[in-house]
Amino acid sequence: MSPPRRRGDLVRAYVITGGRARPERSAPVLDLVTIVAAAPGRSTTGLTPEQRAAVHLLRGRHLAVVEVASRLAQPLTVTRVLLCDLLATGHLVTMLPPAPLPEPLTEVQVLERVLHGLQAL
Amino acid sequence: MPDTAEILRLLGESALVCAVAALVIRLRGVRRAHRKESSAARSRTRALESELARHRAEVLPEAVAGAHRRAAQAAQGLPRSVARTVQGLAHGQQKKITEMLNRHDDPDVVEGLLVLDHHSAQMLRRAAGLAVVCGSWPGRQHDATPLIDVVRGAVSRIQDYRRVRTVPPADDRAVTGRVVEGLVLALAELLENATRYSHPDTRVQVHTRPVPDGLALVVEDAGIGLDQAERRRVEQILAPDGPVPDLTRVGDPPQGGLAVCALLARRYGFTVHVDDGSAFGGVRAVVGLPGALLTTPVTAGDTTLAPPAPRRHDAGGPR
Repeated sequence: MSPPRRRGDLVRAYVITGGRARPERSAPVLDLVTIVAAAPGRSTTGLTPEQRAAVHLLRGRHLAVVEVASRLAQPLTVTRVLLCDLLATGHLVTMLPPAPLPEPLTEVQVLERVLHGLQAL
Repeated sequence: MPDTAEILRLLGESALVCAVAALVIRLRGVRRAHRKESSAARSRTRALESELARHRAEVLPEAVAGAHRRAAQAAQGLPRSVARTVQGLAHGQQKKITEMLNRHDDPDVVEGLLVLDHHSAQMLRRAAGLAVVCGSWPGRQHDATPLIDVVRGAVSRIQDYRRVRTVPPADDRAVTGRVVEGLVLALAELLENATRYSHPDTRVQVHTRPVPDGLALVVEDAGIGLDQAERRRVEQILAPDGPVPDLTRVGDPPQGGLAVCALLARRYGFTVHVDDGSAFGGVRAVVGLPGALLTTPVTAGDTTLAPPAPRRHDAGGPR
């Protein structure tokens, strides 16, 4: 088994993105921690090797944009362009960020509890 | 009794006859000698002529070729060393740009870096091409590389890279590491020619085709093709048994790209053929890769997946 190759050496970033440093204007904004996953049942035929690698990586896996960039060994900006293109073609979907921890009681709930307490008196 | 005067007259006459006879005999001798001499001269001339012909056929071309070799060697020293220096600088620049691309997240900065990277890649190609024509070989080492990345590596090094459409090869074999850089360089020269000599609105297509021993990389453009004189010149440069292209044979205006292809093809054992057979009406360039230059794929599917690289993205965002 050969060690992982440094692809970046030969195929330059501008060829991977077609010279783009930012996604199309209409594309959803992906920040570092936006979670992406592969849409089920989409064929990867016709995709570039980097796009295919992103889809393979995200099959059955939810990863943050920054993790995808690291795993694909691509710069973050390049990864963003790559992922936005795949979102546009329907190969990927964005997921909601993980559910937040149980929040402390909100004010309304506190007031409701006080009300219930008073009524019980 | 004849008188004395008569005797003298007769004597005079016979002396005259004798003299004439002697003269005739002498003349004959002279003529014979002359004939002998001139035939000797003729054979000497013939010998000289054949000697001269031998010189013209053997010695002279050898001397001319020797002088040509010496002149070419003397002429290519400086450009070769300049080419090497430029290659080194462009390499350093590319390394720095890659580093910066991995560190910066601002699209404006990255946009500029992509342009700089593209310029460096073209500088590298031109310098590497000049070094090859000056008799040195590409030094860059690569692992065995999938065909599609060899093609896109070549696309990375030309000016009009957006116009090239790469049909993903069905063949999943890789190109052996030793050949990768030479093949990328040759293919880049063919792509540069294809994009340069066709309308900017048209596409240039690269696809692979299986051939009996190995496979062929085909570059097709929609340009105006080659006229007869151009085709002859191209065939001459690319002829595997023709004169080795060097700095003095690239012509003016220089046909450097094809000379680079011809030299790299000889060196690494692939073939380059250029004709008018493009499916889009222009020039078709075919690079023939024998099976010996191909190897099993590196690993299918997820070759691009590197282990997580902690040095890369700083969660802290742009700096």
